[in-house]
Amino acid sequence: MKKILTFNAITQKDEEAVVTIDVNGEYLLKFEDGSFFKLPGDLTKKQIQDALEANKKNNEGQISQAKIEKANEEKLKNI
Amino acid sequence: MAATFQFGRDSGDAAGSPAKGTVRTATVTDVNWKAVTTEGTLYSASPITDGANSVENWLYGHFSGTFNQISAGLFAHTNEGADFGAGITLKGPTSMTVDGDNETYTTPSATTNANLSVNMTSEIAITSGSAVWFGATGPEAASKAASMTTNPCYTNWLVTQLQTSGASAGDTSTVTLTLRYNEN
Repeated sequence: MKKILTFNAITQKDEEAVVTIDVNGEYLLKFEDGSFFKLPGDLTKKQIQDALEANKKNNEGQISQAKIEKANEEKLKNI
Repeated sequence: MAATFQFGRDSGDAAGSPAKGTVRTATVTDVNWKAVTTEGTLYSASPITDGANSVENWLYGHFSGTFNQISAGLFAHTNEGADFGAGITLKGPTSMTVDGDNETYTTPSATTNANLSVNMTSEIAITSGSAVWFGATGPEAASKAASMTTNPCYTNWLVTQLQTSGASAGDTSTVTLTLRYNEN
């Protein structure tokens, strides 16, 4: 089983993803929580590295609406 | 008076330079990711087979009416409690930081678009959304900027693609994609 350490946008952490080739010949990167993303099957090693870096750069720090609403609820408890 | 806003979408083969779709639909109210690019084909008539992707959905925003300036654009999947469900990932455009960040229209394809690296599967606070820029002529045109006084004006491409792996059959929940902007 092939695994890679990469950024999970849902959990906002670097995690191991199991990498397989899907039925369409594309890279399927699946995390333990079930979330996943794909990369085109024709990428070179360098392009894959770039895509994984872009994945982290463009998703790190993403704030969910649920997190904001939870924080707002906590603030309202101070009133 | 106020700006008039509409979502629009390009579909069909890429044509021209800069490239755009051969079909431009000026008023779009639903995204409806599906397996073919043909505008007007119902999503129910073109379902995405589990394991495959949707074709890219080349959405954009269009401003007309009366305004001095449009600015501070942000784009995200925003509604809480209406995720797509297991086995589905939504990918979207990266933030605009320079004019060259705009995507280049290509004929919509079910092949994974590696440029769409923002994961929009779960709801995102709009303040954490992808930065959107604006420009004249169309979403494909160069010279996009963070604010725009030209009227009418257009956003950069707000392109999205659904990826599936282990998804259940049937419709997903309805989700909301939000474009926030300032006008004055």
